[in-house]
Amino acid sequence: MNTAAPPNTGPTLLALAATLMVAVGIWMLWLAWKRNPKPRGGLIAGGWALLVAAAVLLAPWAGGDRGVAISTLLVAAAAAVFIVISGRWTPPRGKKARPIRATAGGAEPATGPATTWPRTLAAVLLALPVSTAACVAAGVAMVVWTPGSQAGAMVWTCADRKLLRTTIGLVAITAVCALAVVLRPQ
Amino acid sequence: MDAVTPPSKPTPSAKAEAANSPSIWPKVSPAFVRTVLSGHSGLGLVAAALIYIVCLSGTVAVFLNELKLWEEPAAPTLTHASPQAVQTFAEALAKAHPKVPFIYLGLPADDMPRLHAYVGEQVFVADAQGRIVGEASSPWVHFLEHLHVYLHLPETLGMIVVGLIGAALTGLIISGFLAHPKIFRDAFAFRWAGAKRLSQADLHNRLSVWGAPFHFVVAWTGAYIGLASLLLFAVAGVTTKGDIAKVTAPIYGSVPKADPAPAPMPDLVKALAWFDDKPDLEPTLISLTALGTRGQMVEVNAEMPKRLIYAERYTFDAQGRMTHKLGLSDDGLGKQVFASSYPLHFGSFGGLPVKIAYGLLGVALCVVTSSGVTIWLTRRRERGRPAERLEKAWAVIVWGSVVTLTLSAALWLAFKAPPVWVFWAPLAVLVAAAVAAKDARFWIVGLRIAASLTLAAVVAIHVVRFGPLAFGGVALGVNLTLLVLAALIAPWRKPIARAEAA
Repeated sequence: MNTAAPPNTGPTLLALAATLMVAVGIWMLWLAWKRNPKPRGGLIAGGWALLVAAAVLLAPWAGGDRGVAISTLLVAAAAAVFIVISGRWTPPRGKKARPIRATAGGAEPATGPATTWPRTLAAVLLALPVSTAACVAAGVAMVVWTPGSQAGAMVWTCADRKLLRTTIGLVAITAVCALAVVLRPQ
Repeated sequence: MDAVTPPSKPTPSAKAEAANSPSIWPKVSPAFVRTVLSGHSGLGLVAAALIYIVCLSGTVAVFLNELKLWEEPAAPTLTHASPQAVQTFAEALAKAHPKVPFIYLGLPADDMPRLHAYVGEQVFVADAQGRIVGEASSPWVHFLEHLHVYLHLPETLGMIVVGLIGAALTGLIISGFLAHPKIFRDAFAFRWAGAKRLSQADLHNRLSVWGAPFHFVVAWTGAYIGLASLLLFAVAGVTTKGDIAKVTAPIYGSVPKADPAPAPMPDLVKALAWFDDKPDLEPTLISLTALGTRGQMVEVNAEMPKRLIYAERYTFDAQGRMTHKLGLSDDGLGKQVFASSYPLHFGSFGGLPVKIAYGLLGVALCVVTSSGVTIWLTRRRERGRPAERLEKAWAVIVWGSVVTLTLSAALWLAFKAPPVWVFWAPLAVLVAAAVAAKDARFWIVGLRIAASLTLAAVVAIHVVRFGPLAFGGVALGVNLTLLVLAALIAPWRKPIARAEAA
């Protein structure tokens, strides 16, 4: 009598189902994009729901955290396929040139105010040493208050053009964090 | 039309825009968008060149192990190493390098099928019996690794600079989304055959949207890994009177007190046997500290195939008894996030398919960086303020760094020319030459041809140098990939005759 356990195909089937769900989910989002301006809320909600469900389904095969990471990569791959399919690769000619569903101007942002080199230099100085000081201070404060954790961010400086606002914010963060370090439980 | 779109330039497709249903995304004030956008452009240009080089080298470095096998194809490969062979290898290394404080033994894995050991800067390889059969230090891959991690600066400074670049990239990703409120509404629109600025904007925005989770994770973990050393000094200064080892103990483990009195070699056979009845743990790396002394320590990293963490770490005594588990897999969220950040950054959590996905998304990040600057330069040209020198310099950074990176591999394989110099010196010369002469198109076309030829030359040199070994296993895969890249990069087609407006 053969006592060997049969191979467990359940997780593999779930993984295949998850891959299919990612493909269908992206297809629904693509349809929603194509059908704009018709009502498309159901397609968007359904597409996202399938993507989330796929990440959950991948867990038995790939593990929880790892499954989410792999699912995210699958989403990028599926979306790339649809972008290639619906892209305009050659110049449109004659009546065949149907308008592609997109925002005029390529969804470009508005132009910002003119900048000068001293402001650019100041922004770089803020983005690098000053926000480094702030993030180190924030990190130290977090570590001394909650041992084992680390954190840091200099994202805001890179995103905000109001240099005075950024400077005040960063100095304030540094000061508050320095105070938190000084007042830590000994 | 959305409030943030410039109202001054009506386009033929304005009707299509008017027909769109209102965005489901929340409205952002135009002033806020302008402010964020300006920061996005200014900082982007300053850091773009370094960001691009870090992204390019990182994309290639995803395949670090494959490239090591390609660079040293003659070293023996093993799919499995017996515990006895591991013991013999460790003893041989300890005998040959008695003063070395740390030896790291790498056990054969899917993407590195070798029994190998890191001893200082050298890498030694063993055969199936555990005998040292030679060195396989892969100096070009080492160069590539240092380019990505340190930009060839002194290590601590370099890591901080690269960490800052990761932080800047994270900032650009976030500010990019804030400055483009309609980026999700056009999630699939791709008009390559449109006006140059439109095609570049579509390329930039599409790759940004769908690559966003990957780009953000890679940039953030890069910043986190790079700036960790800086934070470490500060935390140690405040909490442990400068004792960094104490701060890192929860994540790296403790180093025992040095005791140089001689002691018998630890029993690695017994230590490895501990994993025999644990199918969810795969030993991959053995760290040996102060081997052959009474202060010696054996730590084994074991991969958990269904987890994102790089490994769980177990400490063994000299008799091979497990004495401590570090807890990277289950001891608090902080440790698990820390241990997951490395595989997430390197793409080492799902074998070759995930690596290929990381490679493609890495290329996407290079394209996003490149097209971001190109859009800015094109917009400037359309406004009547062309920055020709900057356009040429940027073209050379983008394609010239591909050429000099490939050239560094070719000249290393052919003549053992130092790759650091071969990468940076010609790149600097090319930038200077481009600023002085010709136009951007000349440099783009010329450097694409040069990149294509150099890639093919690398394969030819590899074949001449290694003969049949170049046509087997991983080396064959790498060589074929290089040839495909050479074919893709070559400017086969004439550029599309683009309309001035979409």
